[in-house]
Amino acid sequence: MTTLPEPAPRPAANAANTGLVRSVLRSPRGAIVVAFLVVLILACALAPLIAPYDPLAQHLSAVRSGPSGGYWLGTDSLGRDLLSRLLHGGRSSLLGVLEAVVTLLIVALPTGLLAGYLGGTFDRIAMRVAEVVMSVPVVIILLAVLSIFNHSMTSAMIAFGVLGSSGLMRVIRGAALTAREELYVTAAELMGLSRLQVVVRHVLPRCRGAIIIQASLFAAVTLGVQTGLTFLSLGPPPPAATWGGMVADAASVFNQDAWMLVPPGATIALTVLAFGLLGDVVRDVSAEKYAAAPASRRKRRTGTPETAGRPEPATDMLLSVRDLSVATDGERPLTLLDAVGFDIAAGETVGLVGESGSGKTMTARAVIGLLPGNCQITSGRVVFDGSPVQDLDQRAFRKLRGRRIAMISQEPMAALDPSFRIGSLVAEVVRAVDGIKGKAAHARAIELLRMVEIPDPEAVARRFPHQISGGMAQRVAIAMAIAGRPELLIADEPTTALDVTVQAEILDLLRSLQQQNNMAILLVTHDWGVVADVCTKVVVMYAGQVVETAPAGAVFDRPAHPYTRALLLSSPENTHIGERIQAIPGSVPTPQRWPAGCRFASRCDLAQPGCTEGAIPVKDISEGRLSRCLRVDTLLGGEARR
Amino acid sequence: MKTDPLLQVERLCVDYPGRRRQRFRAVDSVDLTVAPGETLGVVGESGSGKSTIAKAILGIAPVTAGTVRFEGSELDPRRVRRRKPITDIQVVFQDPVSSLDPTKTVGYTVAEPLVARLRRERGGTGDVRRQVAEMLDRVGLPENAASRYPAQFSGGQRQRIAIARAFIVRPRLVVCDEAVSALDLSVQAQILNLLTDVQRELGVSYLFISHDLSVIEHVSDRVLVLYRGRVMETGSAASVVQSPQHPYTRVLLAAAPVHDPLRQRQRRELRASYRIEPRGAAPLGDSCPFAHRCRFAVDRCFQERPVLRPTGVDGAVACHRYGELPPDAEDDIPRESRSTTTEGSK
Repeated sequence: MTTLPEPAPRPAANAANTGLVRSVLRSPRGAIVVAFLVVLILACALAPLIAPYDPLAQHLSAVRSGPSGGYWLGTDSLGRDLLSRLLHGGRSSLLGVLEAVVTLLIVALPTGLLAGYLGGTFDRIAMRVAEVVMSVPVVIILLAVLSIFNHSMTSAMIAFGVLGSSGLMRVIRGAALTAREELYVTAAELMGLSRLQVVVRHVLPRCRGAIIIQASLFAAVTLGVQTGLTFLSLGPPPPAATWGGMVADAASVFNQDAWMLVPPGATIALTVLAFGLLGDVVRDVSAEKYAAAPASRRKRRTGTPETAGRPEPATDMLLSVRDLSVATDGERPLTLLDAVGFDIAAGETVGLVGESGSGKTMTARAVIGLLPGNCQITSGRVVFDGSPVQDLDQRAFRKLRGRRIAMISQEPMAALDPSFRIGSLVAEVVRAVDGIKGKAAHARAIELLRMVEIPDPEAVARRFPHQISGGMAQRVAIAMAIAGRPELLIADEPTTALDVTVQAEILDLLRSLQQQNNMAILLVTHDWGVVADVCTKVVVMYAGQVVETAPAGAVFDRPAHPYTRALLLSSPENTHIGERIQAIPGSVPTPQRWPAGCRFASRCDLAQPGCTEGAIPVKDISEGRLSRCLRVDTLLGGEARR
Repeated sequence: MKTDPLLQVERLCVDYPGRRRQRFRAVDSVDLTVAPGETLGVVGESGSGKSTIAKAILGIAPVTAGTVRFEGSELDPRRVRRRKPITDIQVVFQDPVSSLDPTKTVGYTVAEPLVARLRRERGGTGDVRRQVAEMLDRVGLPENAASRYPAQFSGGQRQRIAIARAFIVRPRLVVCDEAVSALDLSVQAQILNLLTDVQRELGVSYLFISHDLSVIEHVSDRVLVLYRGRVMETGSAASVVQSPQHPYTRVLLAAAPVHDPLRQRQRRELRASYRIEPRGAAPLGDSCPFAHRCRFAVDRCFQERPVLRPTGVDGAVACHRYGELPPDAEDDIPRESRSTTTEGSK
């Protein structure tokens, strides 16, 4: 599968060292939300000091006055100052939210974490209890609590927290179950940490995002419920100031004076919104902290075309790729493939070799018109059987794909829909490419399964994908690929996920299918052994460029690029027992850091000052061998003398 | 063997719950030893039980029967959560992404096992920071790595972090469970060199698990070949790879492609000579687990379980037909002579 280039490690990770609070405040959303909540909480907490009037004092001379200099937010039908009532009412509302959320966390956190991490009996009991709690009608319980505890909002909110905790507990348990499977949790157990330490240090942080989101949502819901309860006068009895009570007062005179609803309504809405947003911001910021630092993308000179004239595609080849460049979309596009070119003749097997990040999968996908959504071909030509295909739209490509060009991937299971039987999966492809139906399609499907040497194809056709092995799944994927009798098969690491004995069988199968049908294969691989086994020609890629093209026999004996030679030598197979492997120092540069000159120069033992000065042209050495190296003569000369 | 083994596993069996209340035996009566400073390579295909052996030793798989002795004393067969921690055994996993906590800095991750041990021993945690810095430097990570998070590192660098975490407590044995399998060839070479360098400096033993024969041959002193939970063959790395005795080892070796088209063609022919019509896998029990795929199998192989028989200096092979099989000298013997000598045995 395509791996987008990893963002380059940034030397100093500033974000990592700043505190959570500071990071939240740094984001505009966070700053606004925090400022709003701080002002609201402070104002409510200091209500007795800063409120202009007693919330219960009635100013009968100014009933329903509307906003004015004396009463900033106006007065209600009894002439009580709305601002003062709002501030005093907020005290009980916000305190109630705090009580409910704290209760929620106290109950849900430990039970959820332990149920997920420990599993077993504790988990079973905790889950059954949670189910019972979830099935209880919350409002009725709250009404009961309020009547038993004499309209005490605190007890109602604690009860609400307990009732709400079963939902959060299940979410935390799910997150903890996932975290338990992580190897770092196993590693922590192996280093002898106690169970509590493992849970607190390694399991809890994994659940943090879910907890923050859920708790903030719960706070918002609690505020709504609490307002509802006070609206129904189920909380502190009137004339005590409550937000819900204020809404109720306003609602009763809504037809005469709509303004009264605005101060409490807006406050409630904004507070609910602020709780929700705060959760979002905190979660985003805390996840950002340890995510890969976004790489600074600097504008880079794209490599100049290597030869004076534009390279012309070969017309006598099945597939001819010239000067193919692919870049990401966006304002500052990032070049991922840089002037890639190669040919495949009919019936030939070409190995596309390289390490991850070299662009080999991207090349294969560009050929078949399946680039990831954020990438596009910026220049170059892909000519298939004499006609250019690089500008085809998806509909035109569909006529080629599956019929003339087919593809198999590293994960055969991913290509098989688990809810269908093997037989119908293959028959579906047959219906699409051959236009035959019913029994004929099924018969052709069985024939295809027989062609890929599946023993007892009728029995296998009746099985589901999960009932067959990985090697068998790859055979089925190959059967589906050859259903349209393709002239070119693109195989992206077809054997990487398989055992060596199964790999050998699949490679044998590909070889025999190729001979029977004169099918060309573009084999994407990182394994030199696979190249030696099936390929006739090799295209070596490094950092988005083709660095060497050679017949398979020659590349092993006399590699014509220092990277090819170094990669071959870094295999333990090419190392004598007891000797150190000749590893390549450093690592493959990411697309952000491709230098202007030779991309391998910094790791190359033959590099000279000239290598880093400008784009390296591709040199035609002999009999169709190409090398992108200034010092290829020294390399080959040295090899020859050895 | 002259020295006492560091790790001694005897008659180890591990069962997993299988379908229809049956139990699936993942590891079946496996014996192995690892001497101080030695590398034992364990090779096998998926489902051979190689990782399960590692898990049983580490205490994260259920041990059904058998004993695991470390430095002469028997390890508590219970799961690791319930037993006393053994910091002398450490592990490096395959997946460099999952094996590091994304929410902890590299410095914290590497220091954690050391701090945990010092706390248990009620020692001071004074120079932990210096030791972490030294270890990060030792595995080739930049100086500022300690304050960064795992997501900011590439796969190879993460594996270096995992190695630093394993070695910070100076273990005697490190279990490498496919530790280089997920890495690119050039990165794999760097990590293999790092592992051998650290071994030379600190004198640690490795239990090195891999499916890649060339890697196993490179790092191991001795090799254990597993198939369907049983030991097929064991011996020095050179003897197992160069003159494999068990038919399964031969099939495995012949299936691994060599980096040379001409030699690979010969190897392919050799492989073809081992190929037989597939028979259904025999139920494990009183038969050779490989009999259904074995070109040399006779009736006895389906009826009687082969025991390990000594082959040479320190090798052993579990095959009824040991001694009767034609030599397997790939690349040298003409194909014709081989096929005639083996024809009658089918």
